[in-house]
Amino acid sequence: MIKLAVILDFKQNVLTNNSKLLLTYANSLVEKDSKFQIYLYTFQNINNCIIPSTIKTESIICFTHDNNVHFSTNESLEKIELEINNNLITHVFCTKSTTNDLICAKLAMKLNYDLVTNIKSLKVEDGVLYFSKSIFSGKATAKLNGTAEPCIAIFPKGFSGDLVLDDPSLTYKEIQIEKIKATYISTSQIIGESTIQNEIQLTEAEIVVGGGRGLKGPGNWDIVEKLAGKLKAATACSKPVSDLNWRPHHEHVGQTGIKINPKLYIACGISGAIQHLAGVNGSGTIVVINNDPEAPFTKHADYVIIGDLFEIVPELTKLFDEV
Amino acid sequence: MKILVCISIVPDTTSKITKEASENFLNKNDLTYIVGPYDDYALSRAIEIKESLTNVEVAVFHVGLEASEPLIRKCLALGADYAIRINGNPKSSIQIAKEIVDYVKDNNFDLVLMGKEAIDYNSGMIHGLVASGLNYNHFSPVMKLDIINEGIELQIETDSGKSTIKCQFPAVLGCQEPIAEWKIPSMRGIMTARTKELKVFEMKYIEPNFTINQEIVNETNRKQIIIPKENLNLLIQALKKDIQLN
Repeated sequence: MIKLAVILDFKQNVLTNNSKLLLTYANSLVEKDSKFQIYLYTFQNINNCIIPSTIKTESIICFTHDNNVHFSTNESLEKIELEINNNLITHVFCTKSTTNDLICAKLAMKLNYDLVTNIKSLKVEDGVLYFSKSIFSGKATAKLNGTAEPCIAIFPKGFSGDLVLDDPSLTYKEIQIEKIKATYISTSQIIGESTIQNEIQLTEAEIVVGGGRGLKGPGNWDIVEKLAGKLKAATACSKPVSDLNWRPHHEHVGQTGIKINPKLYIACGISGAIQHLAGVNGSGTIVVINNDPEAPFTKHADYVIIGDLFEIVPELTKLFDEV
Repeated sequence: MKILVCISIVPDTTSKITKEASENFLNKNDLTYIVGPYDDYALSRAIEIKESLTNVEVAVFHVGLEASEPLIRKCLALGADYAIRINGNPKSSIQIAKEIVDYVKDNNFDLVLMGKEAIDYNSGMIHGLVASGLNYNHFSPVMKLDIINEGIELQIETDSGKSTIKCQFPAVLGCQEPIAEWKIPSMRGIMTARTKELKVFEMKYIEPNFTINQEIVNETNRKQIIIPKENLNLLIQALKKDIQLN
């Protein structure tokens, strides 16, 4: 029996799409191979839990903690470690997030389990796991040796992306929640928090609209924001733009910024330096709007519009209006 | 106060990755190597702290082969006091983390800094593994780091925004911009770096957990279709076909 823990992420009590995909994938392993058994966990304090009915598991354990303490403190891990040891769980799957990354790294060391990240694909044969992972910021892929040893695996957004979630025949069920609260003395304390309001997060976005130095100044960003608003897209920028403080650092997409993998990326006035491409090459379709037909980005785009972005971007916004 | 800055040595961000013709692996010989950009931010902040306070010692730590030494010397030229190189060719994050844990256990550091991830194998896990092995406080990605009376004050990025955190020593931090500005070594720094100590120890954790059997360069074959700006409707139609626009 292979006991597999799937760590689920929720946003306002709703299972995230990434978690739903991972759970559906994990469930397909159970269906193919009866050796697998799924356990569900979450680190978010949820009040109800609704999952696809095809999943056989009937309950989820929710690990909670005090509000002013950061989750990644070592003390809160003891409860999770105990759970994994008591249930003899050998494999842990979770989607990539800041919190999950911190917790998984620590669990791997404490439990002495292998750790594999940036997973592109996973094949399972007779309980042996064959991973392939993305390396060099998506420029290359590495195939790993098969292993049946205990491991923790972190799946980025876009993994098994061909599954259809909005299938109308998909039914859901509510499962029981058991809460385990960690109480502990911590030597760190959260003294201030600011949440990004009303914005769509870059790493979660299905569509991203990016702006570069071609926009000429921070005051011109309204055309990018209007297009993004129309498409329910997140906004991004190139490194020079965030270095110039035209846009906040959390919008910087590239080799040393955020790596995105939306279905559609529209780059406005971005030349496409190799460092920027490293952050966006996971995008499904890329549209480039640039006045320079020689810009490197035009060689790495699906659709290229050459011209003045100050005319083209508002025009596109209008056209999407009519769709 | 003692600060250990762990650095990765990685291909330059402009590197074009190619595959060795006869091998299963990427060609890593013709590339230019640099100190990991995120690690460089961590080192720059450590040196700023050293310059603004008294009694701060900054050490640089790297697990890798002798070829890395010129770049380790560059870190010394920027202002680090001494360096440690663990001689070996690590294959996994866990191996590197265990080497760091052992060294810190023997030598007691108040702060262990590194980049939030290395840009070659991008695991972003080493700081977490190290913190776990040492039972130190741990935060990543850290965008702001200040030394206060009884510890440190940090600004970190979270899944939903940013948090400001007060934390006691010791701690392990994964760093990212804008924690500091990258520095360029001065002539004087380069001269003094030649005589600074660079200790070498042999790698102890030889057996990796996972090994890579094969590396493949990702070919991105984009369509490169030119849409005339006079007929943007063509784009809308094409996108409708390619993706489900809601």
